[in-house]
Amino acid sequence: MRGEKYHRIRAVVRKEFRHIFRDRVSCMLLFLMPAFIMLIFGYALAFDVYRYDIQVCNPGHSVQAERLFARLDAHPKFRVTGRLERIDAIDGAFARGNNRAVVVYRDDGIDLFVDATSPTLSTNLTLMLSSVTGDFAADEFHLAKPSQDIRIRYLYNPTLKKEYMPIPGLVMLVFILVSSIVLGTSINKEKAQGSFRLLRLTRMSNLEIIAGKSAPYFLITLLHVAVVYLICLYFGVRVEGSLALFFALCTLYSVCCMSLGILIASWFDRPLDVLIICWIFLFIPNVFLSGFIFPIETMDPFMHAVARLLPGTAFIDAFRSIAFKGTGLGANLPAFGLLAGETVLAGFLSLIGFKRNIPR
Amino acid sequence: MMRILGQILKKELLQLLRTPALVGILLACPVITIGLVPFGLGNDSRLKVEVVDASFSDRGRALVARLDASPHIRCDQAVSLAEAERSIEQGRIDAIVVIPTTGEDYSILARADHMIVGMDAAYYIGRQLQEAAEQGSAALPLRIHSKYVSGSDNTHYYLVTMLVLLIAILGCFLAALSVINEKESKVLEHLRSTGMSPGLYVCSKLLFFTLVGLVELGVGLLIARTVFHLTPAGPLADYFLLAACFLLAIVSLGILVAACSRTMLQAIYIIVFLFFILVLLSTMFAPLDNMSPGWAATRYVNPFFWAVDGSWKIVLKGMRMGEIPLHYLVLLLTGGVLSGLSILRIRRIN
Repeated sequence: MRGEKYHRIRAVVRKEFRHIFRDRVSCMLLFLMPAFIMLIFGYALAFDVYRYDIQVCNPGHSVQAERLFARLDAHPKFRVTGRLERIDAIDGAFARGNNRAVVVYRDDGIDLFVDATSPTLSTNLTLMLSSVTGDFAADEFHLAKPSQDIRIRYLYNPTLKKEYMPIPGLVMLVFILVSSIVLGTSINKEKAQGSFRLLRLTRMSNLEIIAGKSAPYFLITLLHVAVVYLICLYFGVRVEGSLALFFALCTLYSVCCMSLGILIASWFDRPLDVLIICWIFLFIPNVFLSGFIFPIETMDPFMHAVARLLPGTAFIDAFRSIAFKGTGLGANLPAFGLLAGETVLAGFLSLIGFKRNIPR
Repeated sequence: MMRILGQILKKELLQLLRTPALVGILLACPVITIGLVPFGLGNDSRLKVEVVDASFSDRGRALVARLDASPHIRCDQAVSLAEAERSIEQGRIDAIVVIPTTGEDYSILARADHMIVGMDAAYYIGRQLQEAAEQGSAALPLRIHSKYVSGSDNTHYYLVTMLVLLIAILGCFLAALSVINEKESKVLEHLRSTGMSPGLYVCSKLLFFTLVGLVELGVGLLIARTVFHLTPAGPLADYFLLAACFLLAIVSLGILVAACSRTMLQAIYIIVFLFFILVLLSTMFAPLDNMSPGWAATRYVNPFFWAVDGSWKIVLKGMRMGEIPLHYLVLLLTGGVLSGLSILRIRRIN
């Protein structure tokens, strides 16, 4: 009986592999998409400032102002992109290019006009500019410098490698999109074409069909996990903790994403639905609420609780903890528990969905 | 011509309304993206810092008071260094400041597993310590004038981003899957056999899905206004015109991908891949200031960048179309090229 079941699942696995390899373009994208995306954005996606574009204005034609502007232009984080002749041209200066601030030098002080559409950017820019102008004033007016120095030590990323910031989030996004959309749309297509119902006319159960369809994608996912690890190494992101635990986390997370894809496919009929739901309900919340961009500790208690339930949050937390802090299973048990729980829950709900929507 | 176009639009509307699940998804999309997710963005972004006073003097209390008064830091005094280190390991605090016994240097320990948090903590604390010690700012005062203030947090900034993302996802995906569906089910051949030109076919798709995108934008904007009090500072007509130009480009992209794909799965894979690249390079999440010149140059061919940047300029800065004509031109040009290619491709199919 068990052997028969195994043969049935193996037949579906073989069929699914044929489907995957039949279309060369899809096959190539399926295998290479995670690697390609991670390689591109490992370089392109940076969360530290490369350079702010600013403009300057010297209405009093002061020599001191020119020295300040030269210092700003020589600063690695600023580029003076323009010089305004009149103060009333400031509004126009913000319309062109990527100008973030206008520095106006007057005899009684400096006026700094900052684009505050993004409070995070404007605060950072203001602090950096005030640091430069403070140093400039100290040099110009020969003020005493503080005798005490400040020593800064960064924990878990001592050299502040910029790749440490995007890599966990990118891995999270790649898996949540690729694993869920690929499997979800594949199952949905069978539903839309009626072949799922045909398979149900045989002696196969829903669980066997889903297991057979998922197995090839699970194997591809294992390949993706290995590729992700190699790309982490390529960018100099070393796993400080247990390698087995790291692989277990990535595999569990991608299985969780696959089960979410199956869940969506079980309740909705068309690949279009799966595609939109994955982007709107998985991609957007996980980008903004998982701690990828904003630390979730800054959210109010309700949104913090919502964010904690997202698989992306659990994954990023555990990824940073294992890879950067070198912690073990004990410290990451809540994340593993949540991912496993969500996988089982999504699997259970999808079985109900298939039972309701595709009766034998 | 107009009668045929009207009939095709009617067909598209009937097809859309025929699937109640899709209508439900279309209604739920703006509620989730605009009505719920932004609650996670407007928040207390103060860094949590603990001070360890190794000098056992009043300096500890004075520094705690100074740091806590900063708008960026929430500060407490730690019982011991070991206790503070345990807190930072468990993620309860972001940084520790160690006050030296007289004459030694201050030490800041910042967690950099989330690099932005670590860098911000070191920077803000460092500035506070420096300002306490030096008088430079008093000699040459710095007066800060914040322009285009959209609130004390990032909510409005990212709401504008999400509106762009919302209409892009719906416009592009709906158009692409509609075309590939008609291609696979041979409806496209039937339509062509009626004498309908590929140009008219592409135009009807463009018009319908642009209208759907604009309706979604209107709903999203209404939710943003009701829940988060986001009111466009610039003219609403200019904003919708920019959105229409963007939808023209992004719907054309969807049609082109569908026209070039052999199967629905292939179209889905290609769209996911393209969207991932375009969205992440669009400066929605990592601003242009963070990109090296080479990567920043990719914005010239990325419609998402022009849509997001233009939306920020109109909605948050109150600019008009006349001040940012390049945004409209690039989007129109991109839309024109992509829809032209789609027409050529569909002509080749038949």
